[in-house]
Amino acid sequence: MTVTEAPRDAALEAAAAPSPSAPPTGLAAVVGSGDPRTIGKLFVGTSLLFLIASAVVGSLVGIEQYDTAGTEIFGADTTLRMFTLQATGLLFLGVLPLLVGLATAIVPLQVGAATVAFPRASAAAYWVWLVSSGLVLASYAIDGGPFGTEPEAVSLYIAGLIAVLVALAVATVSVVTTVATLRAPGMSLRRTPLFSWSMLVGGSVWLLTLPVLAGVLLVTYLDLRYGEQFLGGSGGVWNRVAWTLWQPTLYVVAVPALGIIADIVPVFARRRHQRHRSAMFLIGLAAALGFGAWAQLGATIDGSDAPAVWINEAPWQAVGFLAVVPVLGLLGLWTGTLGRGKVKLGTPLILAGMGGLLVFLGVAAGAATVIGELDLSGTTWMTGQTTLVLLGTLVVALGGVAFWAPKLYGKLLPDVLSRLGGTLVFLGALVAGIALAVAGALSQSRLVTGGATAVDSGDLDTVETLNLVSGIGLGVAALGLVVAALAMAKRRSGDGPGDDPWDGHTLEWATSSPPAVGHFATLPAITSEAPVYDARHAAAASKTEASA
Amino acid sequence: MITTGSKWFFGLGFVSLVLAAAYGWTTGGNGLGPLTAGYKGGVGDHFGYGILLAAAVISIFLGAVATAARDADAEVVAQVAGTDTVPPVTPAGASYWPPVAGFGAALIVIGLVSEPLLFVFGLIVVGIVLVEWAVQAWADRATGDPETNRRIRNRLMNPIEYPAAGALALAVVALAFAQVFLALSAEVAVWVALAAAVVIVAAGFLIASRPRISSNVVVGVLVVGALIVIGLGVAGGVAGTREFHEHEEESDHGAEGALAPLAAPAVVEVAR
Repeated sequence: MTVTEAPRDAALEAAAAPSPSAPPTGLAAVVGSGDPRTIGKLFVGTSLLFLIASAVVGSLVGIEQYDTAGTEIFGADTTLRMFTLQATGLLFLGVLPLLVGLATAIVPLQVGAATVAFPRASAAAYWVWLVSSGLVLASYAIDGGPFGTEPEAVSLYIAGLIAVLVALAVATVSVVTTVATLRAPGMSLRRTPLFSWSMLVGGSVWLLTLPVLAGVLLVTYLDLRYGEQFLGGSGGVWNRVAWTLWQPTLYVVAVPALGIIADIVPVFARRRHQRHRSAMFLIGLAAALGFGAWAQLGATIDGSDAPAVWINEAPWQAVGFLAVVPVLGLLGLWTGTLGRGKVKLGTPLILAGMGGLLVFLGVAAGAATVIGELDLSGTTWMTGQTTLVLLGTLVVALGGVAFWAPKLYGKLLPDVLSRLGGTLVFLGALVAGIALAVAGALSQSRLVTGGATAVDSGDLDTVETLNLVSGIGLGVAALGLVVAALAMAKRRSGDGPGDDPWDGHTLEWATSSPPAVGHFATLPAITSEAPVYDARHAAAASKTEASA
Repeated sequence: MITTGSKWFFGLGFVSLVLAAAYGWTTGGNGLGPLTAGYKGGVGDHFGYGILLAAAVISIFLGAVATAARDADAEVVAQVAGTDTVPPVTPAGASYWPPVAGFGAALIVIGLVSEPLLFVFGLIVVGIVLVEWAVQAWADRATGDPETNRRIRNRLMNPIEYPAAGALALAVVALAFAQVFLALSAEVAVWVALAAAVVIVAAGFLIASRPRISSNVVVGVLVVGALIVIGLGVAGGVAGTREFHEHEEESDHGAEGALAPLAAPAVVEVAR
């Protein structure tokens, strides 16, 4: 490894001094941009709008279920379609692209790169995702989507969703490749910031999962358009998609959230992350256990659903229980880091804490799901678990946006609005998730498999009330998202926040806010996972020495 | 040395392998089938087992790549390249091709479920984007000077782009005018054509008589004119063609005018 030492200075200089072309202005600065920060902001802003719409639809679906015999907002058939719309919107048009966008903007800064590995591919991914998402939504407007009655509109949903998956996969490839190959001299993977690490490991598993879903959807499309509809026709489409909202696949969506928390906690504890390597291992374990493309519903030749052969079998149970381990371990590390530090209670930490709690509750609910005797699989307990994990991830992501706002927008977000927005999403998700889970414990099936029809008549009123509560909870979450969007649009007035308003630890805090094209004029020496923290402490130590 | 990246990929591969074996045995596999990919016994549910095994193989392969590439650490990359420094990465400049790719993807999706012609058109758009993209990516790395790179790219692509764009623009304008004329009655269409010709000649005359006119104004006039023509063409296409044909057929040849010229003598005979 002699070469590691010899060319370091020259390598640092080369990495820090790219020769960028002139930054685009006007329309080109947005529509034609290849700047990862702009692309990331486009992803974040657009996905937030889709999330608001999804939460509103989810709220209406919950309210519709209040009186299963009487209340008519959509009607029975449309309610099923709206349920699939809010679930599709929440995951593929909301949480995943929000995380991808945040990573596209922040990961290159964290690893000391001038840009992402494939900036134009990331830009193309955004535009393809945007128009494909529009087509998915349009398919619902013309009686399509799962359970739709218009064959071409159902096909449009499938084809549009495949395009959405391709776009998300391309954007993920760009981020993962950035972490894998564009790290600054001195930054080994071992020293990679934990958000970037979580994108590497989580993104790898996304890339193993999304193509499987796209392939399954392609087969479904061919079956629907040209085949015998042995996969169940329009009604069967949702069975081919729904596994992405169940454990274990659900967990891999939350992996970047673990990375975000792990980057926020030490900054606000004003000390290094406790056992950085262990944190890397635990995040990796969470990602590995989150590979769940194998846990899908089967299909039979006559169009009926085959029983899921993996339900209540050892692998599924093991994954359900083991998934708690990394989350618990990380919670322990974060508690230790905060306990030994001087905690500064900033907005990002508060949101990260609330989101982390939701994710933990969701994972714990998953451990209960795999206990066969409780008979929770197939009920709205799973829907509640999905709500907790996805909205928990969302709250953490909002914390991440607040944390990295100086790098994204050049300004800090207003504290009151950010906290209010995040808190409303947290409370809404908590209420909705728990209400759905309790209704599931009272034997309410998932909506697509009958809903409250399986509930004992004695429990029906309670379950319907819980459905209403879940609808109200999602309504509150929608309101919180609107407030969070307002916070992002408003930002703080006055001068910029400075390059490093939080006293950050990782490399993104060594550049300007917002970063210039090419990101870094000079890079600090990277000798640990917290180079900016090291540089600050070295400077403070030398100052003390000099004054002494 | 096992690097951090290879540890992750090997770990993912190991977890997938263990899950594959457990999954195979718990879903009906027997003997050594789940351990031997079905060579010595059954593997149980093929779908889930296949996915887990594929994930394991891919992960282990990537682990081997990460080991061989030493996690692509900057120092190692420089060492392999035989240079003192890692190759600099230049941020991408502005390009409108990514949004065009989005447009092409939309055409493919819509065409796939509705109109094959749209699907083919979408494929063509995406194909053009890929070619343009490849050339631009190559040109971006041609020299260290972005302006020189831009010139190189333009010298290569403009001789192809301008004729192609011109032909496309002509086709769109001709199609738009045709839709407008088809939507109008024959008499009105003649007057509209004359008016359009006068407007085009007048605009050309005005532009030609002012040699110092700003190119932005010329571009603006052309863009507004193109938008008006395309808008009218779309409106004409949506509103008029079918009624125009029915009207003409009824007035010239009566209710059975679909048979057109050959049927005309019979109509005359009936009239006697």
